[in-house]
Amino acid sequence: MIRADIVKLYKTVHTWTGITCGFALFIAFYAGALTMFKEPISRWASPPAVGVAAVSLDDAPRLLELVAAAHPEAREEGIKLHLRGNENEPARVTWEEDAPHQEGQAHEHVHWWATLKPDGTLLAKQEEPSELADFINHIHMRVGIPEPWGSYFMGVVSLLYGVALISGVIVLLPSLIKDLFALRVGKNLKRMWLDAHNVVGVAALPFHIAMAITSTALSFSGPLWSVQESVIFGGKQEILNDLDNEPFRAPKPIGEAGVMMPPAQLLQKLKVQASDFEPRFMIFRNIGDKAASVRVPGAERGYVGDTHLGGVMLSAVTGELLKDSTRPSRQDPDRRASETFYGLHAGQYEGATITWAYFFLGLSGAWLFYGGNLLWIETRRKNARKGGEVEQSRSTRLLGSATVGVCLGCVAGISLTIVAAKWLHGRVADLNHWHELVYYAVFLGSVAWAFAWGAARSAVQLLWLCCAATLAIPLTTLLAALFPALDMWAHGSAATIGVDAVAFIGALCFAWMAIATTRRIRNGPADSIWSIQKAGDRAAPREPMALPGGGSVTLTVPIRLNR
Amino acid sequence: MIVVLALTLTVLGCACLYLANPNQQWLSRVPPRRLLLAAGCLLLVAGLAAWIAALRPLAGFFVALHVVMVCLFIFPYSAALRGFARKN
Repeated sequence: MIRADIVKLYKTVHTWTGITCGFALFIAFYAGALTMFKEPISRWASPPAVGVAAVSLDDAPRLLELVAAAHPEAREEGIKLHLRGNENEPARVTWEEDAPHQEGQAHEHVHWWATLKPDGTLLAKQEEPSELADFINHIHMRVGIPEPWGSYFMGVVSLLYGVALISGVIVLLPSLIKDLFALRVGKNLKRMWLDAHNVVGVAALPFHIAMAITSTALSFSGPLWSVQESVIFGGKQEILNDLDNEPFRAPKPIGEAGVMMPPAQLLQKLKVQASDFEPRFMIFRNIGDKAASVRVPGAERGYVGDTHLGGVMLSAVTGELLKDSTRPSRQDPDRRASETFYGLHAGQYEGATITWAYFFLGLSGAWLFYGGNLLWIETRRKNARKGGEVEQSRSTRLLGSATVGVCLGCVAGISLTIVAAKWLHGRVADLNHWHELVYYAVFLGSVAWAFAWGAARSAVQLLWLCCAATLAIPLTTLLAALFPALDMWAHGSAATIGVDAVAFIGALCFAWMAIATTRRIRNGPADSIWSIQKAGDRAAPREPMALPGGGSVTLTVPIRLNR
Repeated sequence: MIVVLALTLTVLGCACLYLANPNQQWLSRVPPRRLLLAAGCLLLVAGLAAWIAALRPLAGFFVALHVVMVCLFIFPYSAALRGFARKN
């Protein structure tokens, strides 16, 4: 039996670590849940191009030769041959070139794609791909704070998240068995929020422990690497880095001409040498040289972290396997451990089951932090009540507004920036920059709105904004299909239709929450920050019937409302 | 096919475990709890074995664990939502 004073101490620790980190963790978990569908979102946002099907795999050798001849930098840095035909692969062949920069300085890259014209000549075009999915991932990893501060900030948040988890478990231990899976929806709102918080926290505890550990390590990897460099390796870590990068390094060209093996034949050779390996794309280097090589990133089913950095390297002339030490089944224990570590954070293994499981667990994590704040607010109301209705303290009102503004602002901002991918394409010069502008404008505007209107009114308004913004995702696709003159697109693949379908369901959920919250602010206890009535307006308020999703409703309808 | 079997076994195992808990809100009358608990454990072990057969031990374990986690928070919420819908 744990002493009551110890439980009380850990409860305080749990409350304050949760309150201080809750906003950042909500954003990280909500955006992280969407990141599980990074590729479908990227495909949804990518305009139709000439496509992989425009050049058959049999015609790929000619295309590769033409690109290598016309773009020597691509020949050296690598020409990517796409195999799958997804919408975010603009053509059969793509590559990156360095943007103009000063020698030795950090620089950006420009992206090219190429295809064959009907007459067999080369058509190459510089076009920046949609970075929408990367931007959502950036929000997930650094809540939008620029590097390196974003990583440091999230590292500290992840550490505190771990403290909140441990303290939460200790607080829960005395009643763990008795209240396991209990979710009592009723008149006692504090009880309901506590149950709603505990069910998710306890059921998904292993997931949260894994996330706390891996996100701390990933956020602090840069500084930890630097400390290791000076304290442990004494400046010799570069040697290890070099060894680590060796499997990805292509053989140097020898200056003798070589006949390239066609990609289809290379894939057959690969199938013979690594039968369980599923290639994703091929990167050719030094085409035309006898030492030309092709790196083939891909997955091996059954391994945690099965796709991250994994791959093989073949001779592009003979098809002989040159390097395969980054392939999951061939990785050394060090690399396997780090890939497993990363795979556990990113949910990179198995396939659809784990993608959907991480998606739901990510959303439940966002709900955990949102619900945690609601629980704190409800607890403060109960404590302040002392027999009669009272005005809520300033801190409670501010936390309520911040919870609504930050959380719903993040949701609406992400939805609208996804919608912007189709509406703004071809209408603005730098769409990727506009994704950032749209997100931050909506996010900051929502926060300001929540503080201006208070938690109760803004919760309803912003939930409707979330509903409208999320519903705009499938509606945009529908409009694109019905009105081609709008110059947008409606892809027909299952992955992109899936994005629209999930967004539609999400919009319905937000609508339901908005309706429930409308009832709550009208009919709920007037001494709550979730009420638009003033405390004392009603002599004997009924405790509301709680609604999950941020709302609740009384069974009697009050007549007088102060607006 | 084996993935579908593994998923079915795991979800059914979780359903039995949830029903065996005194706080379950799915049924007003439930079969003997010990029976449900034993059935749940057996189904989960079978599900884990199927996941491992479909993948590899480590990946199989983690997939099974994550499916269990999702089921164990969705089931109480589904029961609460159903209860709420009935009251309204």
